[in-house]
Amino acid sequence: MHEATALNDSELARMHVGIIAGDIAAQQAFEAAVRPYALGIATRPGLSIDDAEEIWNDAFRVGLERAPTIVPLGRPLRAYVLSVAHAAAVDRVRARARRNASGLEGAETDIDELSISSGAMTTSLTDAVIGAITTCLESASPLHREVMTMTANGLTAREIARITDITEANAAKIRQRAREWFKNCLGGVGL
Amino acid sequence: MNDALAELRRSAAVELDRLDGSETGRVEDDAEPVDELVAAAMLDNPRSDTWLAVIEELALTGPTVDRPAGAAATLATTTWSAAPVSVEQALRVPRRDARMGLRSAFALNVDAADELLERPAAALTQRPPQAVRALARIVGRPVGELFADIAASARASSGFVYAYRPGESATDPAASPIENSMDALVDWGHELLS
Repeated sequence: MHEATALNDSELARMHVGIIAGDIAAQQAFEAAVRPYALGIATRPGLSIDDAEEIWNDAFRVGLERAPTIVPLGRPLRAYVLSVAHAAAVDRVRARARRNASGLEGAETDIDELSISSGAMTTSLTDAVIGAITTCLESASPLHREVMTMTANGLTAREIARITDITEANAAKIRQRAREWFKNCLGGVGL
Repeated sequence: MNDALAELRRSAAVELDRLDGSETGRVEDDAEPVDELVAAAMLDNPRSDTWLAVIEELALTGPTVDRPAGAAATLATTTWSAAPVSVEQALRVPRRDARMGLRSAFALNVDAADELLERPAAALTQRPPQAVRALARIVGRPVGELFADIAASARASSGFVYAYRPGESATDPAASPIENSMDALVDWGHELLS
């Protein structure tokens, strides 16, 4: 069993306070306790271990920066950092897939420049669309919202089934209903 | 967080009850792409309590990668600032409001409050955590962020918190330092944040 699961609530809480205080020992203990899981979850979408290491370093730093806000709210810092690592991994996989689909492999400089310029051009457009999507998300049932979040984050029906403790077929059914609800909602707000 | 997962499971069971229980349904192709914009919107703000519970469950029950520890902690620590933050700077409100907060929380007169405002933020560790929590509430500063500034100030003082001395500026070293080890700081912070 890893140290992360062996720590009791009081030890975890003290570690979190130490992290905010800049206690190197607490930060190293947190890293030792969480890093294996973060690397596991970052490599899950198919990234290399080197990519996962980069993601972990970034996620860890974000966790340290946000700890003063998160910890007093009683939110779990470990889960937050894992969530950041997972989202970064999914983002990276999606970005690569887009590059591959555009046939831009192997031209790293050009790709970076294109990504930056296309990102700037589409920002205002996507902001409006994302706003509409967010509106639908907020009006969805908690179950549909979470299932759509899991789907958007790349979880398979099997994983959703394991998390929600139902069969894979039923998880797929619920996901389908969530998608249909979502499409209807987007249609209702003009998308 | 188990509560969040349990609630999700209850919701799933209720939804399944609504559906035709005998219907097995078609297992959807997992390769079906999620619209990029939908994904972007959800990735933007996926950190509900339930999602955090889900991701933690996935991580703790999934494969782990155990390589020699990286340098993230050391790297992060070296990039952290340890600026000599004063009490006034740590409170991040106009001086008048900060003074009023100190007077209310610590029962100080105007002169004592003004002098404390100039002290390193670490000087607040000389006060009871409950009173500092009340101070944070009065001035509207998140208590975790206030503690982070106090800790930065303590680190800038090499782990020492200096005893109160009227007329001293925030960055001056002072006589009669009171040792405040990291353990003591964490203990104080633990009480402050709990």
